[in-house]
Amino acid sequence: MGMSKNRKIKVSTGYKIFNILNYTLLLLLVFVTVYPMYYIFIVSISNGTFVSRGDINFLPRGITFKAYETVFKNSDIWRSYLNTIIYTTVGTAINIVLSSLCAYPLSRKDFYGRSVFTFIVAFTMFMSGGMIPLYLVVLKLKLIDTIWAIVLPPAINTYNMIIMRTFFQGIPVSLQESAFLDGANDLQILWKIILPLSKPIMATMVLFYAVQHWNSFFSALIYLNSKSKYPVQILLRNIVIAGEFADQQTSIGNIETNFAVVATNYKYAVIIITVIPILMVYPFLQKHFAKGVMIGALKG
Amino acid sequence: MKIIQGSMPGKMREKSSSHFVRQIKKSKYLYLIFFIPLCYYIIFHYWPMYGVIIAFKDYNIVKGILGSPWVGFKHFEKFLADPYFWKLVRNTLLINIYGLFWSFPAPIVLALLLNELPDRGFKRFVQSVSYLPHFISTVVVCGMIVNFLASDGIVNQILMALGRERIQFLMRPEWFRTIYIASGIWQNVGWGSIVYLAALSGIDEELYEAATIDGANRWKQMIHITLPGIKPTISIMLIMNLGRLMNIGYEKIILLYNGSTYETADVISTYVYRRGLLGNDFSYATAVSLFQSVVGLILLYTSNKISNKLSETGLW
Amino acid sequence: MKKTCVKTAVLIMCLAMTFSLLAGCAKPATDNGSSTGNQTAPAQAVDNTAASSGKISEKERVLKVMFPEHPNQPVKDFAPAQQEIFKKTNIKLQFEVVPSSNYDDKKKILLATNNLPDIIRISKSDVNDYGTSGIFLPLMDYVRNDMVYFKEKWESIPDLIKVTLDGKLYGFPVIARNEAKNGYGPVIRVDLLKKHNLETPDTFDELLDVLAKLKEIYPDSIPWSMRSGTVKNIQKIAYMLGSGYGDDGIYYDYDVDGGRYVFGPATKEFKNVLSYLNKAYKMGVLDPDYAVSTKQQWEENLTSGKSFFFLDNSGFGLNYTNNLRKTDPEATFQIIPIPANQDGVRRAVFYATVFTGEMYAINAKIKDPDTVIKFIDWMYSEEGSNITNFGVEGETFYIDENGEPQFIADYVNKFKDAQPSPYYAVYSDLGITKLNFSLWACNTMTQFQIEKLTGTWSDLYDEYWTIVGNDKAYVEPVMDPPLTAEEAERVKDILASLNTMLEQEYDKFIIGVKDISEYDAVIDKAIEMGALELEQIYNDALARLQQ
Repeated sequence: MGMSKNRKIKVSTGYKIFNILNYTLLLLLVFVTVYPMYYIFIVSISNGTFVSRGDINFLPRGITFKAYETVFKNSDIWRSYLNTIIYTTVGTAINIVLSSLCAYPLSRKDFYGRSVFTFIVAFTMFMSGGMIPLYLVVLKLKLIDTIWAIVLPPAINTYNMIIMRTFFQGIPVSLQESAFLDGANDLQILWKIILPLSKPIMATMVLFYAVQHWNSFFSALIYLNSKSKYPVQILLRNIVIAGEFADQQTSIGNIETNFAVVATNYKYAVIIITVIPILMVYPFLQKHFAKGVMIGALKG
Repeated sequence: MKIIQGSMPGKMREKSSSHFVRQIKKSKYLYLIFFIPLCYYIIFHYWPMYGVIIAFKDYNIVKGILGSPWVGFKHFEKFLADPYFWKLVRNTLLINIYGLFWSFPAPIVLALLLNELPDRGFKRFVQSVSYLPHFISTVVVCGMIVNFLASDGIVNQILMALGRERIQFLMRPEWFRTIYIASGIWQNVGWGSIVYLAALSGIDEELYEAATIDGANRWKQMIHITLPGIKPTISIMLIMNLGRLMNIGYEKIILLYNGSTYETADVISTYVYRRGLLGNDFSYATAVSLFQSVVGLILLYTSNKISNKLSETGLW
Repeated sequence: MKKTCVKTAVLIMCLAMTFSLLAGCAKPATDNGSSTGNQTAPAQAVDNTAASSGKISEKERVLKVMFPEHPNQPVKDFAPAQQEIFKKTNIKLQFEVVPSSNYDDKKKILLATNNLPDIIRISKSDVNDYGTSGIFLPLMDYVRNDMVYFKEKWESIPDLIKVTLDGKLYGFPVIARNEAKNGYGPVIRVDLLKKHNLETPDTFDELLDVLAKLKEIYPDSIPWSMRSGTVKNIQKIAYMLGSGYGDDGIYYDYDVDGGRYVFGPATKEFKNVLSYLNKAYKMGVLDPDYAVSTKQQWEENLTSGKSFFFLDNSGFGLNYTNNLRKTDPEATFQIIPIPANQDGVRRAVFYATVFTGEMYAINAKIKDPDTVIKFIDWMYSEEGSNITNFGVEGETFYIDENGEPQFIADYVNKFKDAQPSPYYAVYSDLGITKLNFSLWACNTMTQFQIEKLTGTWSDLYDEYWTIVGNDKAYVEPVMDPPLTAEEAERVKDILASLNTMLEQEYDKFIIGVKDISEYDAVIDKAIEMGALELEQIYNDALARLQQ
């Protein structure tokens, strides 16, 4: 990254002002994006009595981890966490492989029938038979209550795949041509040239797909019948939402006496539990967004 | 020989019958690569597509999709003839158009601003936190919005401090779009910028060097190098978003609207939801969704054509 | 070149669609057999005499049951209650639980694709929507000819006839056992009334005056706080003020024409509701954010001392009292008797207690229905109900001198400190009560026992139940009658546009943008849009039933 030093040669006052504004704006952005998450965190570890009165602002009060304890004490949670990890790993792997296999041919202008195939693929973004026919297909293929019902139907997200294709199109043709002249076929070009140069987009796609799987619950809800196969979001969502609609009528309601933890604690604890793994993974992917990755490889 | 971007040398255009065969042969490895994804689309997208005919039938569970009786356009008439439906269409389009206008550029601007930061550490920090709101569930986000905009909430407290009147934001139809879109930007600007950041990282550094040596300032560099560099990404994203102009999810709106704001907030999906998705309404719901799909496709086709004409990039 | 491309694309797509159609045709569109794969042991023709082993089912048999799981009460696989059931009946219950937050989504898909498990929890409205499709086993003949315990209950609750459709019964209703009655009610800070020498309000107008006085004393307060939006709050208060609002507006009024269905918002009496709320709003007594406040904000207001009154699920008052007393030992929320409305009448509606709308339907494709019917019948017997609500006799409960089941203290006290509450923990451990698979189900009966045993019961609760029990203003709710498919469709069409129009009007009158005299025009519009036709449909359906 020695290049950036050269760019600093021409520094004007205009640039300095712009820099200050930029920093200010971004700091503001940091505040409005971090504070809500921070707030959620401190509420989740605060004593329920304060939480239910809305007495928490900048610091937690009456720190207690009981909400987290209770969520994790639920014997189903650990099993479902494992399930989510498996579904996410397997699912993302399938996503990346299939999306690349789909995006590469479509990125080549000399792919005969390219427009037709692109249209066929893009068409599916807007036209679908709906939940019922898809369910029947999954049923027919005997995939109900298996991991395949979770990872196969969303194997390619067309939106993501098209973004991938756009990136592939940006890779200089000269590279592919010289490889072709050296006797490589399309498969080898894809494997040896395109993919290594696509680290930024691959990292992005891994992130997008993994997060999709991490957050997904609807397919699991519909296609899975055994509780032991449920991913973690089904359980967590139940905690967050069931509390909203419960006790509209009938029973006297849940008479609490303790209030160390109230419904809000659980709701917010659930959000933190969901976000933490993403926060841990993101930095690893982030380094692939560094500049000059491609050119560096070219020169090497 | 002119080298066309993305094509291989040595392919002359000949108009002969063996042209077809030769083309297929040349692309044979590509077909091999494309085969598995194509199977995926056929099995999981085209096979279930026959289900759209539910929209033209009165779906009967026991008779199944194929055995149910045809009713032609009965379901379509029901909503197309209803004047209130067109209000819903208007609301859907307006929210989406305003939304596109404000929230489409936001992630791009953020990515560009981050790109201009000299301090890489700060850049990485901002990148790592700006996407956090994306992970707060809609239910909680809406709870926060209601809290924020309450009569004694923060926004109104500021207004009072400035000597102005309180506003009941969530009861006023004219504020709904702003609230919906602004909160959407907050929630998604960070996450949305990731794609553009990835695109920016693919721009050749040498171009910037050359431009600096030629005396171009940062602004000129942005106009002539940066923006063109991510233009393909922007175009494609724009086209795909335009295709979704007729679609909007109901979950967030349901949590934010009420009778007083139906005028601007009630959209197609919320009305269908209120009408009752429970029960045997699959035909009706499928008809509505087919209507939205067709409109979406028309929009997609049109915007693609325009993009092709203007900038040679397009979906197909 | 582009034109041929597009043509080719369209051609290929047509081909693809044709293929998919053919593929759909080649095999039946729906699957035969339960979504859950093979289920039963080889079917045997069962005769009506008891099996020689004395158990309901001669051979071991697995029954798959699907119902929602509430996060407060996780459902265990093969809990003690189910083990006991297996011992007594040879039937092994296998539960397929679905999170309650999304139960309806899953149920809808399973019903729409005809992929039910053996037994599935449905609601009364599902009978209307799916009954005629033939996916549920028709049960009326079994009830008349083969069942004993259920038949008894069926005949003792005449209103249950409303869960039938065209004379056919498609699901077994969950009947409550010994359920305490209560309903939406007015709850106020009685300690503050005492402190400031204010009389307990006897009429609705007095209520507003009392709240206004409290606002004077505490200027920063929001005396009356609401949650869930305008419509839900109208629903809770309308009947008390002389009108009414059921789920979507239609409700049963005992005092009109000797009792009939009325569409509340299209009647003159409804103006009383809106003008009362308008008065509360103008007096500064009603929360200005009443229409948008969330449940969380509402609870915050009540537990922080900002609000003093609510009209909602009255049992919550006991909760808030417990919370408030952490910082203010005197604070007490308590229900008051229903005040008199502008006509001097006191009236309110209980929640549905004996039957709350949940039913269990049986898959029409089930093998050996006779055994299943016998099993269901047994679930309605005292033995079956005791097991599914109290667990294992001798271990977790005993029968007292009145023949009633009582929890054993030692067992219950193991869960004294459980979160969110001891009774949920007990239920979850044993696999019992209403939130599990029980047909003659307990809720308050078991809850009160456990609360008394673990020491969470207090005098406040006794007081609460006494007030509610003695209040003559409450009446039983009346269920909607079953509608035919065409009627249901028509009702849905009318309601969708009618309520959309009405919901845009209510707030204008409550806030005072429009004067109440302008509501007559709204009534006229509502009638134009079909309000009277709605009433006609419902009342005709009722008459049909009574023939």
